[in-house]
Amino acid sequence: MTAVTLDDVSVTFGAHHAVRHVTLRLQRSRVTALIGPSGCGKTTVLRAINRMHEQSGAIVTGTVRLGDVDIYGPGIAAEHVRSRIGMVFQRPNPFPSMSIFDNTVAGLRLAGIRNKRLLREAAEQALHHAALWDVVKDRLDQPAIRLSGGQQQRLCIARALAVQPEVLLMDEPCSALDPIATAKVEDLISRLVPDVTVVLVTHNMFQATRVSHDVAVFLLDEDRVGELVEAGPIEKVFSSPADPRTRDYLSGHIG
Amino acid sequence: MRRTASGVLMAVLAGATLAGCSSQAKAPTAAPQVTDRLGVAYDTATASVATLNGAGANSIDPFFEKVFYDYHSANSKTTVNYSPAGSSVGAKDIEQGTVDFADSEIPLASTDLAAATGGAILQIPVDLGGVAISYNLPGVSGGLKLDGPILAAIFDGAITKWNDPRIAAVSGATSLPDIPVVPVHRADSSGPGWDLDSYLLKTAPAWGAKTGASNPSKTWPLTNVGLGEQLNTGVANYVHQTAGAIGYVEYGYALQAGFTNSALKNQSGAFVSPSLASIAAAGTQASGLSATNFSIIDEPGAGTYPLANFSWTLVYQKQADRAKGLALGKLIDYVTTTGQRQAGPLGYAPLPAAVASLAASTLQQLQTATGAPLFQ
Amino acid sequence: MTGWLVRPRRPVRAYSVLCWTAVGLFAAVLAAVAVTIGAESARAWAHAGLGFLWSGTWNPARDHYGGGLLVVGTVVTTGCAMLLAVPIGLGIAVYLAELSPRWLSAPVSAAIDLLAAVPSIVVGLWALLVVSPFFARDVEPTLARTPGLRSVFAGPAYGPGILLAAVVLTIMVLPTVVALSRNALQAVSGAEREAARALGATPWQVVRTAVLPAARPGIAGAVTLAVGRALGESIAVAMVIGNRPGLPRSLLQPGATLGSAIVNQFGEASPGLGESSVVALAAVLLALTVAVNAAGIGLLGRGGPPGRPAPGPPRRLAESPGAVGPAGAGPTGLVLLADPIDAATRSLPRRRWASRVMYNLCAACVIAGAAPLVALLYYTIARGHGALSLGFLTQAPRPAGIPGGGIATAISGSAKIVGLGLVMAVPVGLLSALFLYDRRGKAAGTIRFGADVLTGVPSIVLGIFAYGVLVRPFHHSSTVAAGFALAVLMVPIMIGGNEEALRAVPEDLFEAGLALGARRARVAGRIVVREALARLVTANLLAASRGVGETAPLLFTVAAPSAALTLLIFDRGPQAFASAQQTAWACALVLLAAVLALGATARAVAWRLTRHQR
Repeated sequence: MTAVTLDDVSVTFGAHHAVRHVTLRLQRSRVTALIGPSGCGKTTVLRAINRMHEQSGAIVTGTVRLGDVDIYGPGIAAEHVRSRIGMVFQRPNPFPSMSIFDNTVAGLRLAGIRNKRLLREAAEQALHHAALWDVVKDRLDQPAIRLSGGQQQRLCIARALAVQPEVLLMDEPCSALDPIATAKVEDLISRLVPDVTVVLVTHNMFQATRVSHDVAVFLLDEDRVGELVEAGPIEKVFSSPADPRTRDYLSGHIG
Repeated sequence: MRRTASGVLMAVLAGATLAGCSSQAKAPTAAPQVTDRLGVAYDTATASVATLNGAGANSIDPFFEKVFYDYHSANSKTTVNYSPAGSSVGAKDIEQGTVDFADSEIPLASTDLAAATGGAILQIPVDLGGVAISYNLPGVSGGLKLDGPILAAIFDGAITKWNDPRIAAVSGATSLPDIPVVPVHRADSSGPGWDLDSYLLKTAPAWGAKTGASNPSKTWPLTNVGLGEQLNTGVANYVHQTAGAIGYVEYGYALQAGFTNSALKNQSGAFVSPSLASIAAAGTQASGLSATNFSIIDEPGAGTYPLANFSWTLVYQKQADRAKGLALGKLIDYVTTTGQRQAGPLGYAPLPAAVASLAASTLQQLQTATGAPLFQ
Repeated sequence: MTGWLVRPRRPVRAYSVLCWTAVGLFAAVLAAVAVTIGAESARAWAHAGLGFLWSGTWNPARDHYGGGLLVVGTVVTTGCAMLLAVPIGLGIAVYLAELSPRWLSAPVSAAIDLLAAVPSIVVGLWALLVVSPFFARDVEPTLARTPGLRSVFAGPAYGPGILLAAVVLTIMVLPTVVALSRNALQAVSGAEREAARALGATPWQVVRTAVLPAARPGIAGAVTLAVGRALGESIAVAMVIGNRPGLPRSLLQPGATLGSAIVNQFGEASPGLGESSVVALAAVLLALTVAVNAAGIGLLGRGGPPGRPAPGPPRRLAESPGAVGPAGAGPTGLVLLADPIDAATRSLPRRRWASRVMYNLCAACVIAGAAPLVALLYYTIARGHGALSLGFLTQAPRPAGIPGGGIATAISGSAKIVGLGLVMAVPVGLLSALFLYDRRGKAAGTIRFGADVLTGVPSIVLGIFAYGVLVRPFHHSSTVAAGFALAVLMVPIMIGGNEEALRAVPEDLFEAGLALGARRARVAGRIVVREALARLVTANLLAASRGVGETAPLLFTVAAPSAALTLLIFDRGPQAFASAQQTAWACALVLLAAVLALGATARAVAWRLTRHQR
């Protein structure tokens, strides 16, 4: 079961190729980790999946499909894509002027849902799901930025989940967190499936091992452009990589 | 004495002025002085360089500008700056001593004279002007006649449309348009305002009740009706660009702008339009003119325009700086004599002979700092 | 102890003395403004008491002085201007910061800067001669006929009135609103935008959800400073408001403000109670603007939204120990309460439509903001260029009716006044900025706050101040007094600009200089000033361009209208015949050219600097 299909996807910024010729299937209800050294286009690919790169003027070629739908196809709105493919960022970014509750339901409100009871229930659901409910249930009206960093990140996850996306993109969600908070978020990620398909960008091999089912390895080619070297179930790729470059990379990092 | 050359009306001579600032101390010393006498041309050879600053009536500005320009062309050592900011500004500036001369249509009252910081002030009549009631009615090329009560009704807001039957009844003009009357008054205090207020107080019984005053005021008494504009220029510009507007402006300005002006009913019951002749006729009605008996508003006579006034130049009797005092005296002497030739084309009537001699005799009273006569 | 470590006997610390002198001078001027306005208005306060603030009658003939109606007029006019300026300005700022294509943003920003540089007298001239007749003929009758608006726009269409004054003020404060709100919007971090975007927000929803709330304090500061500017504008308002104090019952009605009343009344107010009462109006205006500006500065200075902790450096955010919750407590499956995706899908066409509407509204704001500028430039050029010739620029004015003549005295007069102002202001501005650069603490904070507040003091108040301290005591108006008034106006702008320029020099450069064993003076002079030179020149040129365009400080300090460009416009503009008006337009053109040339030079210097650094 494929949730998202990338077919010969290349991303350019002006004349500069960031990543090219990526063909990848992301399996439904699994966590796929995108790994590789810095600057090899992991985040670029991730942002191509929910069309976040349009804002920064990137050109995406090839096709990206959510189920059967080409998300860059004619008549498909970027906003629509993004409400079905959620995203969590490197640094927690709750809306600083909003309360915890308002942050959680921000996506729903944006979608035009105004029913108070509905919002309340959805918020509770999402906060439960993000393992934050018990921490914040008594202070939902407080500003979100009073939460600690790890809590903020889990709030951001709750915010993304509240919209009930099919896919959740996570761009190094623990890179700004300390080990304890990281453990909690990792724990949370592994609980998100099977409801959501997760795509996780990470620098950290151990994190990939801990939370993901599949892995896609990105490296720089000879032109210093990112490319997808190998993808597959994590045990297989990590134990017996098919590509020698993967092996070199992994041995430098794990072995 | 101004130490800087800013505000020099004639920049061509800025250099000479600066030079003069340093040399003015060496005033004419010995020798028989033709410069010490009035009524003769200022001797450009013995004259000292002087910059004279004045401020005051806006109404007289076109006349002053021309006469000062002519005077400077003939006597390049005298440079005159005149700020036409209004007669009250001039009055205040001379009282405070921030100018060398001032000009006002309404001579200073004794209380104001007492407030002057530099001693006694001489008030010299320098021109004869009129106040036009100008209006802007598209398609109406003239022929409007107004009397005091109707004019009062316009300026107190009782009449709001031009086709009001009351206007038609007085003026005989029956085809006035159905557009709003926009009365424009001066936002600053002014001689023309005093003149009109005085005329309305004399001729319209209701006016005094409306304004709550029995004496004319330079500040327009009913500021809550119509529009206030700054100076003659502001009123003239508004009348110029707005259909339905009516305002009072110095005749010289109305002439310059090509306005149509209303005829006004005078004391003899005649409707008279402002013109050089009718303003001159008002001037001849003045008898025993002095700084305390100066009004020529609503005088009788078949051809007498009822809104006319003399303009008065104010100088300190004691001139601390003798050279400057001489230059100032010579300048005003020129304005009240030869300069009067420039009045007509600009919309001012030349001073009547009696008034010109009042000017000359007043000038003769100028003194040096020690109290000696400045002119022989 | 080794001998060479012993400090050499210090030479007199000239640098320090100079800095302290400059700051002392500045502080003295600041205090003198307050003391002069206070002392000169004391008689009015003693006469009328606080009743001055709400008594409505202003009748010099009877010694009745009350500023109540003028305060009302000021507040109403400013309020109306804000009703126009805030939505339009915010629209433009949002467009520039969030929505515009990149290629468009730079020229539009430049146009807004241009609008900020247009002297208020030129706006006043254009409003008086072009907009006022247009309003009286077309706009006001239409408004008066429109159902629903009739009650607000009742009465005769005069042209001049509260509405026209509000429009003029809008044009004048728009650049302030736009520039400062744009800065506030741009300061919002990209992360918050991304968060909203990733939730499926449309471009407008991103602005509304993530950007505007975060930028609120900055926008509030921008609006507050704009209010301060609008309160204090005097000359242009006096030209178009109709000068009729009264309780406003209709926006078409003529009105009067504190500023316009001071312009009209100060010159002629009789010494004593009359003059004191006009100065009391200035005191009220001063208090109003200082309070508003101080509030604005406070708002702008406080970066984040209320309650937001200061943005610290923590890169790694720790989980607070007390807040650890049972991680696995929540249910693992999501029960579908509603189908949000479905809701999002269904509402999307509407949301996209709304977003497009808002985009177009913002674009319309840009057009609404640019239109007056285009019209103003068009009319100034079209009506002024015909008079321009070499003779016009080099000959003295001549009386009406005599052909020839020009504006040479006004050009040279303006140059002298501004030049003198610069001679006084530049050293004080530079040394005060060096003082601020070198010191933190209470004194520096006070001076900085003083400079910020003085920047917002209405220029008409500075005109009265200069009259009080230089014209009346020395018994004549003079270039010196006018230059001094402009210097007081320019110094705070220079201090702000200079300090910013100095701060742009990396601090380690200063420390590197100190580490070489150089004295502070030498480091500041040789290293910091040198590095910051281009920016310093820019800051001072911009302040000068502001000075060139000022009218109000010259009104009571210059001998005759022909002695300064702005005064000549003020004098000739309202004349009812063509040649005088053409002179005014030509003066406006020359003035605009001068101001723009200064601004362009400043920007060219800045541009060279950045290119050099690239």
